Amino acid sequence: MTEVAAPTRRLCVRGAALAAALQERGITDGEPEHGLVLDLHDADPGSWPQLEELLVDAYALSKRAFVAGAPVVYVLDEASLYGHRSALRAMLATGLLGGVRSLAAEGVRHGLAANAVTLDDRGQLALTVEAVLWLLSQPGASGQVHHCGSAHVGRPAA
Amino acid sequence: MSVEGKGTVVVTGAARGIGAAIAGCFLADGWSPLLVDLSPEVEATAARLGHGRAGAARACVADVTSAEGRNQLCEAVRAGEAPLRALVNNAGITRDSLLRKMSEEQMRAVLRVNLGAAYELSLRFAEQLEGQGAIVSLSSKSASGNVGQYNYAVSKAGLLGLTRSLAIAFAPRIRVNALAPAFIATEMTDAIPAELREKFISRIPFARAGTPNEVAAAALWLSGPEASYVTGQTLAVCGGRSFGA
Repeated sequence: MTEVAAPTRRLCVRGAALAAALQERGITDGEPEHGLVLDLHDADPGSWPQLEELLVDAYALSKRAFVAGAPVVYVLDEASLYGHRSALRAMLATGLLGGVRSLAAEGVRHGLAANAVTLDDRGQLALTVEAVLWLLSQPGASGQVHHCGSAHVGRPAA
Repeated sequence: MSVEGKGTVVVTGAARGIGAAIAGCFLADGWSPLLVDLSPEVEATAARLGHGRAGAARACVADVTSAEGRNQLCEAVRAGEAPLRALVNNAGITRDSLLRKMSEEQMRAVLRVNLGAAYELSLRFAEQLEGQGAIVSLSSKSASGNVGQYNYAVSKAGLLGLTRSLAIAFAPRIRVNALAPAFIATEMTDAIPAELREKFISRIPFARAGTPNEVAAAALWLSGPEASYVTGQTLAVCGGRSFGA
């Protein structure tokens, strides 16, 4: 894949590995008001209260980005979308997908973009970085789900 | 349909609207509904559905978002004669607001009722549902995202993940499915201004709102033996709205 130029120099990136990879592309740590990349693909809540906190945190960060007119990308676990892991992880992934689509619906009249990237078990970080940067640089793309990997095609893996 | 296999169905959020219709539909099919709601009105609803027949439809006033309320509900289930065969996670609220105005309280309240309670109750009743039980959760077309409903969309989309995960975890002992109604005529939608309501309806190929009984019929089918090989699915009850303009 051709490398995509970084759309901005500062972003709020939640997720250590992705933050480090984005830093290598010249992205420095910022606030949600600069743009939000929320990587929860490996978050593993152990109870409902823990899941509630993750969802409320996502809401709070997204609200800050949204109010400032900044783009939002959620990074989610592909297998959890299909319910292949715990119920709590599944609720996190599908719940945030519903959330990002609401952001997109609400932001369309203001030109605000909100998208999701999903990772399969191969977890290709480089591909994820490209997908995130591309989505952040495309104001016309909103409400999209970019699948990094192939778990969404064919029969589900056993 | 044989009477065998019918038993108690727990319906949350059953004081009125879709929940009451679901309880009535199951009762008419020979089930023993246990109606649960935070509102004491649920007792009158159960009495009305049962036409005064003692125990035909039972009521439990409880807050399913609390451990105490769920304990109350479990005791009510145990007190019944018929074994638990189905759980319908219908309890739901809206706290609509544009995201920029949405409060944390609005976010948490919707999550706890619409999603957290469904998760906790599904796990709580799993053992009793083992064998030939079914769980049906009321999601919504808004799970696909909607303006002013970030909280609601997260909760209703979360139910889809819950459904898929539990369907796999509980197979083949318990079937787990979801319904995704679109515009259904209830007291809640009656409160929408007429002009806006007409706009919604104009986007529905059936050119009308759905009825609570139409949602109830789908819940009954998913819970019964006719759907014995159906699990992990989301059935849209939407008059074609999923494909409308």
